[in-house]
Amino acid sequence: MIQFILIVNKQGRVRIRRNYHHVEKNEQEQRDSAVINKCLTRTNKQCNYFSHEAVTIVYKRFTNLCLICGVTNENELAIQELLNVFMDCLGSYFQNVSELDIVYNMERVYMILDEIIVNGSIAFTSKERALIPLQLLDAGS
Amino acid sequence: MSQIMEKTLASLPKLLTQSFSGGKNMKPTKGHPPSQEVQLFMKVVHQARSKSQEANIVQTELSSIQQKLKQSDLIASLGLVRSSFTKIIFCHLLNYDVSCAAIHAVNLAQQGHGYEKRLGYLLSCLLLHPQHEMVMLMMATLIRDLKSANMANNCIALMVAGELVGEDNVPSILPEVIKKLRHSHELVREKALHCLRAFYRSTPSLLQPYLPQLNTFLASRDPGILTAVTNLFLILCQENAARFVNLGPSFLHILDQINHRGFGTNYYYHMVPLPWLQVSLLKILGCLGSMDAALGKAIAPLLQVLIEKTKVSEPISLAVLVESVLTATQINADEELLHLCSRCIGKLLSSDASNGMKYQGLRLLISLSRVKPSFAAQHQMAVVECLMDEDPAIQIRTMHLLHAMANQANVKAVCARLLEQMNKTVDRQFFTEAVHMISDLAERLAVDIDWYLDTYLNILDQKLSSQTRDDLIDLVISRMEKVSVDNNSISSDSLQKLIAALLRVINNYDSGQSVILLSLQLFGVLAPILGEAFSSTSFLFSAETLVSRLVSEWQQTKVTIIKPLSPSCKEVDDSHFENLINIQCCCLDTISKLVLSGSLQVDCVKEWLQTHKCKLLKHPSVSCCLDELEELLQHPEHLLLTSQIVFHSQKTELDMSLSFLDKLVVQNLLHGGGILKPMYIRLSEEKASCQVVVPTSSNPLDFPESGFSPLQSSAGENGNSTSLVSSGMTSSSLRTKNKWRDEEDEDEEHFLIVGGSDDESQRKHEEIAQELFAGLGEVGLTKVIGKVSKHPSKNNTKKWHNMWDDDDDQNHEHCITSSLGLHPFGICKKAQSFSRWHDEDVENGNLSCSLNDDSGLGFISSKSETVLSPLAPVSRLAESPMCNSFDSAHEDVASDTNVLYRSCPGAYAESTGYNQPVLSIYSEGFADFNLEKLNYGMTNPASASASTIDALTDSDPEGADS
Repeated sequence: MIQFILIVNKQGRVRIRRNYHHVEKNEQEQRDSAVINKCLTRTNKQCNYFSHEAVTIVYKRFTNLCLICGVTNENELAIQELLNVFMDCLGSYFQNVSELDIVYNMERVYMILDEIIVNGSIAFTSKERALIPLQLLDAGS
Repeated sequence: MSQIMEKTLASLPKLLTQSFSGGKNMKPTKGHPPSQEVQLFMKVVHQARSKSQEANIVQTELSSIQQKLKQSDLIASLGLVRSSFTKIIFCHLLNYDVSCAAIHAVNLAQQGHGYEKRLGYLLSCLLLHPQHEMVMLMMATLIRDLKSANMANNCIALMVAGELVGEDNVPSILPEVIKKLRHSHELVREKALHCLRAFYRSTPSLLQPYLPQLNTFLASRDPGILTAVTNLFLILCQENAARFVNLGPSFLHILDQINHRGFGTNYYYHMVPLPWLQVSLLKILGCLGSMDAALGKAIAPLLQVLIEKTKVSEPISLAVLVESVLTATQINADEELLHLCSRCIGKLLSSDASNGMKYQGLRLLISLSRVKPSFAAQHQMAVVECLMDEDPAIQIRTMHLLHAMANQANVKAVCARLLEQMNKTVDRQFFTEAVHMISDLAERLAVDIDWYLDTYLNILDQKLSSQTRDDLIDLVISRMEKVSVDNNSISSDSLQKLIAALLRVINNYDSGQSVILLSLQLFGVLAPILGEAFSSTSFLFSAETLVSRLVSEWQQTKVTIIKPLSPSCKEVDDSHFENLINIQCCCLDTISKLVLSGSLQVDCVKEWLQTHKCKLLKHPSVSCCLDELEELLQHPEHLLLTSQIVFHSQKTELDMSLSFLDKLVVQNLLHGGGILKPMYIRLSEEKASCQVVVPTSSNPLDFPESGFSPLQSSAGENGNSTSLVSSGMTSSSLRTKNKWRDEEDEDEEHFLIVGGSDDESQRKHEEIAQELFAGLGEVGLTKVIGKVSKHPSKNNTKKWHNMWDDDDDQNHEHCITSSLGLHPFGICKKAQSFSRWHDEDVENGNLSCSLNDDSGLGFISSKSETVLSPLAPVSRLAESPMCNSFDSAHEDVASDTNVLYRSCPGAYAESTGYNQPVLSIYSEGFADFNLEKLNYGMTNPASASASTIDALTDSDPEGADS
């Protein structure tokens, strides 16, 4: 079960945040800052997972972005690759996605994310299927 | 491109654009940059110099957005709506409160079309949650969109419904969602399945009638539907695997199809087809395979293929590999497959592997060593290397592994490692986990009592943060209590350490009241055993500070609480007060015990009492304790005698076979008296499932053997040389379940030494490995440490003590059928009550006694003393829900006793010349007097006065005259 997913930049600014489980605002702020801090301070040699309170954090760093995912009872490697695939999707939608793309098109990033993760479980099957709904909407408007 | 994919794509776009085609032909878009205004706003916010400035900018912007959205028509001004919503999402990400925008989001979802509708739904999802009141407003919109002929609207509505519709609203929307299961298009069916999964999580009961329909989806050829339905079944199987075992072959077939390239290349990711679906399927198969051996056999060959063909180069294929190995460890796989798994783990753990791989390898090794501990030994050097790794995540994982593979041979080394790691870590979570792991290991596998106590004292010494501190100390002390009270062979050295630690806890200002109470009680029981060897005056000193501190605390709370006199405050107040009384009583009690044991000077105590009497509360229980103590101090001439009776009871000789009463029993039987079944047998007979053999022998000493033969034989299967008298530790370890226990196989505990190493390079590592992997060799099962023989009873009295203890423990076990999951912290809470009950006894005059001065032999009982004496394991009563029925069952025995004594005033305490309060103190020395003996028609040892026997026969209607 995926609990939450975050996209943050190198400075720790949250670019995308999606909770799949309702948390109170204070709790969420605390959790986010603790998790982001930990993720950004880990060295490259260390592995991409660690446990934080009851959830396991899986993260994946890209050049200047970091995708963070909190899960319970999931295969960490599969989640790590899911983060990869999410970035791939963004890459093919935006053509070499940059941080600015994400900031300026947060809604669209959310919409793509909603095709990949549905209610906290993995719904991804292929890149095309993840992108079609948004492309249809774009074409329609 | 596969047929399915083509079909999907072909039917998709017709609704919105005729010419659009997705898939690989799609045009790359370079996003849609927002308007200049939005960009400016973001820039300004980012450049804000301080947090307050940023907050200012955001607040002004939000209120102006609010204003604009209110005034304008949402549909007419699309540009405004889009830019406003982008800004709102942006502010939401910065953790500002944007709940005021929720209503606009709901409106937009209702009125908008296409992208705007999606935007409205998106913002609603971000701002609302199932319990939010505004979800009600969305229900009509959702249902309308579900009914709409527009497929895109259907999909969005299904997705949002899964996210936002909570328990209360599911019934109103469920029929529409179910209809969508038969929609002509795969995408809608897929979304409907996702939605049902969300509904199942919130209201499982409502969905039960629709579950059989789901089976048909397993035959679908669409990967999206398969993914959705597999995820749904994953939840179902994890809840109730047995119900879905018959679907096992279907899942197996799907997995087989995926691996035989049954789906198009679009669904490949790094050359692996549908990897996430495979992972889910493997999880389900693991669940089902553990339930059904035949299915497990069918799964095994596929797993073998999956494991063998996987190259460890791609992370995603590694994910499938890891899941396959995990599944293999769950399905009772044969030796060959397990060896393959072990080789796989070896690769993952090899020194040139990345840390991520090591992490996964450790995870697999944990689950593999649960199936067969000896496999862990094959990777010992790798594990030791992981132990030295700099990554805390790896270290913690390794600790979990060590815990999983601990046995009696290596438990000391493992615990030492855990303690060391505990000292280093700053992670609160791990710290708590480590305490639980250590205490579990210590309790389950401890080989000698000194080490056991040492380990616990080590935990107590840790610098704990105040939050977890009380809980942990509570746990630790209650565990120590169980062992130290049950056990008579603790060396005085470790006992002294233990007492010193208890004193530290008592003196610590941060200790919670329950912790103080518990340690006081334990102190009271243990300190007298030590006698003069321990400077008891230091206790007087700490008792003094404790009493005065508590009183001042009490007064403070009283002042603050008096003002708002709400009922809840009063409740808090009351419980606080009760605790205070308990602690004070306990203090006085302990002092009395110390005086009795001769470790406190009477003059000393008198002096102390005079100065601190005023600080004690005016409450019946406290003054009762005080009276007891004063009474005791006034008769110092009795002290010598009582101390002999109580604390040096090994000098006395008791006829434990009660042979002197045989005649009486035989007479009774001859006169047609029925054989009386002991309490525990009556109890266990009520629990038919327990199937305890009913003893038929009339010899009272026979029943423990015959009565517990089932337990013993099962212990024998484990190779454990259980004898009749087994120490409390064995039984308590069987009985107590905590979060670590459930996962362990009992049999694993009995492996013993034979560890070998094959690497000469690093001697240090080797040493560690040898320590840690002792007992995990293939030979295994060589010798079992009979805990019983380790603590041979010193004499008859001790044996007597142990035997009855054990009876009760085992009795409990049978009654509970040892299936109760007990919370580790739940143990000691009720234990506190014993002193209070004890006090009540004194007040009610329930105490009865007959004492023979000449032989120095005492035989004392009181109604609840038999059940609740402090020398008996206190926790025994508190641990199980059974204690109520157990208690009440004792009650009728006890009432028999009362009748008995009512008819023979000669046996009352007064006749001995002792005062009741004093008696209540040393009656605790005879903790294990068991009332069940009375039911056999026996009350007293040989020295009992004739009047008592007369009384007994009188009170027994079927009894023979003596």
